[in-house]
Amino acid sequence: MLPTLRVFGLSIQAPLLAIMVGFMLGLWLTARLANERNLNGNLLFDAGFYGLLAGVIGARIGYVFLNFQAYAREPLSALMPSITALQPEAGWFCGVVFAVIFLWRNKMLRRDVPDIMMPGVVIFATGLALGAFFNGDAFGIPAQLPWSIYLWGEWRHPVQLYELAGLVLILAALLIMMHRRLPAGAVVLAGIALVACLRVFVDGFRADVATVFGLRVTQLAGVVIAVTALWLLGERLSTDSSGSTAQAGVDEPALPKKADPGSSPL
Amino acid sequence: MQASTRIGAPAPDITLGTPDGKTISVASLKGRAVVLNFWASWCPPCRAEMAALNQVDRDYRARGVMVLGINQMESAPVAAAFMREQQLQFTVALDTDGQATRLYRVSALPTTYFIDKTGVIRDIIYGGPMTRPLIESKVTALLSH
Repeated sequence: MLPTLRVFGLSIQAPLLAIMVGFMLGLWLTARLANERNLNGNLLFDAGFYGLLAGVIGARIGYVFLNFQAYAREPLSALMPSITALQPEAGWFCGVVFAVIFLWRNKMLRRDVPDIMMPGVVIFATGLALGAFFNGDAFGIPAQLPWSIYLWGEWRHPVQLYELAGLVLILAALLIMMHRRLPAGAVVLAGIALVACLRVFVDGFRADVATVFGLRVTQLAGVVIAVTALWLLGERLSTDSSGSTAQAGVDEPALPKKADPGSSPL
Repeated sequence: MQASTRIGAPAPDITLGTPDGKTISVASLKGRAVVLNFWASWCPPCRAEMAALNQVDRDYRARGVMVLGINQMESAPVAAAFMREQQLQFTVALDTDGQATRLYRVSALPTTYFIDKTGVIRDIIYGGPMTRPLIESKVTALLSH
């Protein structure tokens, strides 16, 4: 557990640093993958960056709103930088809505954009897993294994590292898929299914997950999400293969060099 | 459940001396919501949040909230002088040998633990300075547990 890092005498919150680095690397990869497909990667980068800002502001407004009585006497203190005075749900909502509106206004709500974003989202998730490792959150059940970590008074499964390793493998798989000729939506659906499967596996070793009738809630949710995503992926691939049969003889490049004029906005 | 410094676990017990020669233990504070603040007089963000902690201790004492400042490895006269200078009214304990700092895994100052009436840690804030509304919002959440 490493909640703070000392760098040149400054105390830096290691979990926050890991999450921010994951977010920025994810944005960088998204922009790069977009540029490879002759889309404007800068716009995707901006959407993520401004979405982050909107998310932070929204999270603070949400926190102040929920604790209005405390902030009413000193409203200016709502402007003080503090990562603990944030309401996460409000932040996610504001950030995602702002990013979607930004993409819509810039005519970037295309069917292939979620595919391009998925590997970046997985990198962001690795930042979250690393942040949880630094903070000692989402910890594992006790286990005496050669690779156990000592956390909260016991030797435990390093579930945060299991998740990190799984996400790296998923990222590699998605990057390989990105360079195959697949229908729009295939990469994002495969990514969702793989991450949900990872959740089912990793949460089996977690000590802090709520259970219903002896079953972990997140594992149940993971199974439902994985099955749904795999079914949708199957539908998408079968629709595409029947479409390809109808267009037999039409040779398409694996990676389009220009933006596909036939791509329709969502 | 085993005592630990993670959110959701019972706060580890420790007994410390105060500048006026008394002793105080974390376990003895069960039944009150506790704001456990690790500080030192040389730490600028610690100094900056003292007034807010003082105010919250005064405003919420009647509602069963107590601010307990733990001075990190300074002598009793230094801590007492700082308390006079800042006009601190909340209880301060002295961690002269760093035992509480190690037990609570304090790696940066200030670090603040919010402990509910049953002795369970509900929130941790690394760094500062905390504003009065921020502390109040955390204390209000503590009282709802």
